[in-house]
Amino acid sequence: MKIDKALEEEIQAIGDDHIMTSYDTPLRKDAFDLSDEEKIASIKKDVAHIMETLVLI
Amino acid sequence: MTDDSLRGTPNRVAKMFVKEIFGGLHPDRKPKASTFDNKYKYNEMLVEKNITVYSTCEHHLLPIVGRAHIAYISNGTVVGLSKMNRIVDYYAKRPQVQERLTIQIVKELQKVLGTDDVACVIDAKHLCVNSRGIRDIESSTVTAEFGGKFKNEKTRLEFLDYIKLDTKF
Repeated sequence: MKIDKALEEEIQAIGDDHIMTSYDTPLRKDAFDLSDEEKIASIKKDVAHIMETLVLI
Repeated sequence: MTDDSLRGTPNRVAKMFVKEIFGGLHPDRKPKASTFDNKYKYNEMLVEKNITVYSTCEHHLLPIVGRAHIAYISNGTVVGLSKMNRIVDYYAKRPQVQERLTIQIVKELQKVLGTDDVACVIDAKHLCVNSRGIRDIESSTVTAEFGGKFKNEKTRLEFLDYIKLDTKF
């Protein structure tokens, strides 16, 4: 649990301090298995979920 | 989403992510690397300055807005001027950190031109600094990558002098 907290703090610090971790954009090997349209359909649901969580209707 | 103003937002944002602001993640959208022989034997430095940069900070997903300045010295191959703008735009359309964007632009042009003699300076405002957190609207971030002959101080200073030119039309 203590390690998790330390790791979380490190992740936040990297983001807050804008540290770069690699020259190449970090991409998964299956980055292009989904089509653009399939990605849009999936992200659309996630954005709606964010907006609903923020209590928008 | 049921409110008329909000109901289209999820689709609009998803489309914007995939096709626009993160469109440069897909290698199919990489600009074609058409090059030409340097027939007119222009062997001096070529500088393309004030290239508009619209990117997105990968830590907060907020905009990075600024200017890129690129230079190269041909070793026999040249690229069209707008090619440099297109390369900047392609790599900018990713979740980015400014240092990586600068390096990716230089590496791509080195590959296209077949020379190490490429340099890039980017001066940009990060809305994650300007609009949230420390909320400093005046500060901007400058990054630079100097390859080949640009590691030489005289060549580097020549490039930096050119980008100070205040072009007005």
